Amino acid sequence: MSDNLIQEQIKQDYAYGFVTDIESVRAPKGLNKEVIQFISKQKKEPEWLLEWRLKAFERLQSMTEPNWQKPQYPKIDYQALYYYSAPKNFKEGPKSLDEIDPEIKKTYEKLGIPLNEQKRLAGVAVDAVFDSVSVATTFKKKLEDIGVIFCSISEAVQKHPELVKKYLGSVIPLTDHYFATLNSAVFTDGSFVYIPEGLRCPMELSTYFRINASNTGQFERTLIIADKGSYVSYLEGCTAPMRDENQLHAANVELIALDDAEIKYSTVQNWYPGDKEGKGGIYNFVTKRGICKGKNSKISWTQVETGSAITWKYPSCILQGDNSSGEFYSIAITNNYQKADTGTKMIHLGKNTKSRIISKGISAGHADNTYRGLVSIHQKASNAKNYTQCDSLLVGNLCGAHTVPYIDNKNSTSTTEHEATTSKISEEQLFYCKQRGLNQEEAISLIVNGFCKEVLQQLPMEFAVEAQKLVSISLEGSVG
Amino acid sequence: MNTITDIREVSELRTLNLDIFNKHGYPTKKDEDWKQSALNNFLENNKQLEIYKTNNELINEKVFENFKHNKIIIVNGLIQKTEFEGKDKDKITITSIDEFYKNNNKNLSKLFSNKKNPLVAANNALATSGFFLEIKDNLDFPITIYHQYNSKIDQKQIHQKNYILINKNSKASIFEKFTNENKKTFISINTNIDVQKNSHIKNYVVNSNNTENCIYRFKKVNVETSANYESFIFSNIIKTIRDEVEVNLNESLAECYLYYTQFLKNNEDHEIKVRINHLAENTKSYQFSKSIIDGTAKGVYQGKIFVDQIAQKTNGYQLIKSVLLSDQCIFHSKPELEIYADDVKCSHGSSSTSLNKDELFYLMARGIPENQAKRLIVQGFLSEVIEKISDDHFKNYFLSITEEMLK
Repeated sequence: MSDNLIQEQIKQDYAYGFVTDIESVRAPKGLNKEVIQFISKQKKEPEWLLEWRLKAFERLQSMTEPNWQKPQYPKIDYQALYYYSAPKNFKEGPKSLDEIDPEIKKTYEKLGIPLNEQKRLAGVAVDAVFDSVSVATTFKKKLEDIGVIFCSISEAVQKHPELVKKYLGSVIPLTDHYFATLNSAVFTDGSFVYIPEGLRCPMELSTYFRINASNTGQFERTLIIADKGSYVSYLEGCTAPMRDENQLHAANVELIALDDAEIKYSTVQNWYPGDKEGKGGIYNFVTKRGICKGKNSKISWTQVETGSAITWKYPSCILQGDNSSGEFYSIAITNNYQKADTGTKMIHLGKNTKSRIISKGISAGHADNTYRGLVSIHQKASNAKNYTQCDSLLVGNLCGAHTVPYIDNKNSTSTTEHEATTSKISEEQLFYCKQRGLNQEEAISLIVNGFCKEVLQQLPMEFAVEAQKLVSISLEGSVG
Repeated sequence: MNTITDIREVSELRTLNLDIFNKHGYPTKKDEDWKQSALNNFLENNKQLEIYKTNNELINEKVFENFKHNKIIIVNGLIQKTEFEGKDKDKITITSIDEFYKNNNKNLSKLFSNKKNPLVAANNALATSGFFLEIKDNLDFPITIYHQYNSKIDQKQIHQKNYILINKNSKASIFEKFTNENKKTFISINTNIDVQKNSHIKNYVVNSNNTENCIYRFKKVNVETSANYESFIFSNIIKTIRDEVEVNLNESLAECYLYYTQFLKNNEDHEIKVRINHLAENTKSYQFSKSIIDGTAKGVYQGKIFVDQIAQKTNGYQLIKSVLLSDQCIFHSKPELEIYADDVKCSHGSSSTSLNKDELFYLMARGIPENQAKRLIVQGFLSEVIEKISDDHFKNYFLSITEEMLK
């Protein structure tokens, strides 16, 4: 019975693996000064940004890739990658949705991304990034009217250079680590969000990333600034075509929350995970970091990681302002030969800072799933509180689940709590459900969804449905 | 090096390990396992400590316990005297490790195993002293090993290698007491413990009265089927200690229980590193540690539970609690799980916090002065671990020294 179910599950194909046939403009292959100058020129960037990129590139020469992580991967040939790829008839950037290449539009329709504003009833503003450039941003006008800036980062560089200059690299410095520095040198596009003082952004903002071209790395850069007393909820989704080679995705995401501001960042990551022999798939090496700069500010990360051959990321919070709080909710599902090494860092610097970490890892097939996290309470962070819970579920005996938490407490008035469990789906629970008339598959789906519930609850409505489906697709029937 | 070099296998193993050590050098902050270690600094500052060669040494009889027990007195790493009670005499074999090498020159390599640990490699290469202890049957009385380090090894380093073998169907309690009179010494003790089928060993250790010293203790324990290894380490008044233990639960129904309490003050550093390898079905491990940290002291706990793919039905548990009393003290913990089998129950918990204000209030509201109330809470906190000790005699012993320590 269980074997059949596993077979069925394995047959589940990656639904987003198609390739869109459009002509694209690429930078010459390889990583060098000329390519960076090319990217900068294509984007008509000001001098200071080019200098910044070149500085990062220079720094990169003296850095080596980190190698402490659990999932090992073959050496990446950085010279064999294209660092810039844009749809060919993409010149100035579309003024309205009608100007978008119909092929691209079709792609997004296939993915179910609501680019067509008229048809949308509920408001979700979307910024869609295709390979290296942002192709469309919806609801722009409406957002502009109330003062929210939501555009691609290239556009922000042109229109709001003072904001970009002030905050770019302020959370993830140029010199941070290999992939972050690489991103700083060659980043192509991404989203920029600025919420003015005291405003509660009336709709969810969303970005959709799509890697289309082959041999292309995607290096997007997202910068979100929530000014005093504001609130924003931001969603991010990703897909890529099925290809035999591994593709690199090294994004940088920086969040800045000033006094009393709150940022909620949700990710549903469904990059191509590779085939069932572990061939191909995306290397998802992303640096995400937020800083609670002001007092009473809050940053909340929610992630559902189901795709990518290797997921390697630690969305972190620096809790600098007094009374600020950070949250991290994560579901990481790995199947077949997928590998995930993910978790968070909570750096408590300010007084009365709070953090909460809930991580759920599910591994099946030959997959490896690691939670790695740091909770660091500095000497001056009096009355800081942390609560961490990381649970792992193992499906089958060929997979692995690992937990590597680091807990440093340097303040006697602070409290840290950490708990973790690893187990399989309990026979009792299964029995209980089946006795009440559910079949095996329904029972498992119910239990797994219950296992993830704490995290799923944190997702905004639009994503919760999608994520719940993803969880079921990724796992249904793979438990015996 | 002394006489043991004439056994070829040993000298080969030494050379091999010396190469490993020379290649790596002393551990540094860059090594993941040694990131938080205070040993690094000590070794960095005291690279040229001379290696001490032990001869006949004087015994300090003042530290003897007054309950009935078998005595093994080891001064500066070598056995100086043994005293056994009643019939226990026939059940115990004890010789120097050199003797052991001479009589068993096969399979010595397992005593020299090393997984990239530079200090274990150094010990393998340099150890000139140590003992071999074999227990053949159930003992009536506990064995107490007095480890004494006198002023002769001041400003020197000493490497000691021990091997404890518990034959099948035996039961024993081994109590180890460390005393030290030196200012600046590096002591590295590497102990291999084999617990054979159906045996039970209880290993209790007291770290105390170590002034400006640095001790590195590495224990490697192999547990066979239905056997069980229990250990308790009590630390108070130390300087820099790293207690490392690697337990291999090699066969089914093997169990291990590790308990720790530490009370750190001033600038003391205590680091515990545990690795438990569940290598067979139906094995169980349990770790429980509690620390009170005061002054500028630093406590570190790195615990790892590894579950092999074949080790189904594993039960692994780990609980680490600490209370921080001052603003300058630090506690690091890294409770790790690495699991490759699906039918397992593994959990860990770790917490660090200040003294519970409600408890303090409760006691003070009942007329107990603050200092005394604090002491009571600390005592209660630490006793929770001590209560787990399965040997009643030692349970009471440790409860009473905890009480004394807090006076």
